Amino acid sequence: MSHAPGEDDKAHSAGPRRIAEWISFGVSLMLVLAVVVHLVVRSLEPWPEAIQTHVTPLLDRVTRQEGRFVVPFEVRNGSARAVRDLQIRIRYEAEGRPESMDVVIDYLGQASVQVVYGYFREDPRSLSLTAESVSYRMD
Amino acid sequence: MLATMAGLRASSTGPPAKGDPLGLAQEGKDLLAAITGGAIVGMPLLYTMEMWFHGMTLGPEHQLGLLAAILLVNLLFNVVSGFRHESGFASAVLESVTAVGIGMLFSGVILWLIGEIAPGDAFGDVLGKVLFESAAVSLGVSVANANVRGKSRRREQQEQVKQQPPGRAELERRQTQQDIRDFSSTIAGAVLFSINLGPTEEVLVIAARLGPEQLLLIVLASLALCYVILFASGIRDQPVHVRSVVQSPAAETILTYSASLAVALGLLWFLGERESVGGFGNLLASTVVLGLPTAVGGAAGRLML
Repeated sequence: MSHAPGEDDKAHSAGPRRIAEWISFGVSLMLVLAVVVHLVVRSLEPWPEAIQTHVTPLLDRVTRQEGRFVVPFEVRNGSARAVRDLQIRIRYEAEGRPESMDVVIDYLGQASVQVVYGYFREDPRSLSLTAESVSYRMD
Repeated sequence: MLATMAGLRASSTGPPAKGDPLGLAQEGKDLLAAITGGAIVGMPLLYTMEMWFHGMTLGPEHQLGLLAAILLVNLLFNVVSGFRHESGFASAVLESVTAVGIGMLFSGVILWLIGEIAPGDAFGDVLGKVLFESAAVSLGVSVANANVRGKSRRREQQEQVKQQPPGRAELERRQTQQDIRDFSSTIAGAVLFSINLGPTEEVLVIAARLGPEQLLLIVLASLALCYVILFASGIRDQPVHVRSVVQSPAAETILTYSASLAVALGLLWFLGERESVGGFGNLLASTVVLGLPTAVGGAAGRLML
């Protein structure tokens, strides 16, 4: 895709830089410098080896669909690092027997929240629901 | 065809107008040309899930290294051929910083449009994604634009001017040929640009998370990019042999976008994820989402093919 620009193309940029070009450069420079400063400050902070996640069943937001109960679970990454393949295990008791279901979140960003949903045949408020993260990967 | 007139539409890349002492008009045109280059090179990567995720998981040292590498590569390209074609190392440094700035802003806007970044997201995640994407976009600003700017048809016009003015029938014939060529290159560019995006999961992921207002914003952004690439950037003059309503920039922008949407629909139908075409709502959302890069390809096709 090599192409030598013609003289016509060069003509308009001959001469000193004008104010508008300096404005574009100034805005870009400020943006780049702000990013550099932010990254330098962050790189001086300790980089967490392990992350903290919290999984909370939102029982006050349970809905019912076609005879089943849909329960949202809020998954929160409280650390300053994103994780991959975060596996969530939800445990509950159905008719006296312990049951569980697993959910995997591909990516969960730093200090961010995702909501995942689970289907239950019985009212989750009577199932002694608990949820926790059981594994994750970090790049 | 309503009227007869041989001539050129759109702007040229000639010297700045005397009524523009601050260079605002010329700079605006340069920036639009830069966005054109960035969109053409960067749009497929802006629709790539791995780019989002890798950007998100990079640590601050890696991000700093990435930013330094982006600046260095842009500097090398600008030493050879800057987007304003200026020469000199200091000038190349200034152009590189500007290219990276434009790349970051453009990447941020497109990532926001497709719902990949949002207010409230962790700043580190947003920055990682924007930085990763701006690597490609800024190179597009620096390189692609320098390569397409020379595709002016002014020489064709000069050759035509030397000859006897053609009659109306000849102008009509030329305009028909031009319309067919434009339509064909739009379809070819749109297919070429989006055929590797049509089958991907990203289209479905983006379409699934966007509401009607965001889809409407994508339609407006697609139309705006079409217009910028075709007319506002001044990268190529558009020959008009027979002037008519259909030849107006607004009409041609809408026609190009419509053709691109049709290409996006076809690609989804034949190559897309099964869920993309399962129901009218999904199909419409997926078509609009894929329509953004397809419109860039369709408009770029008219520049390059």
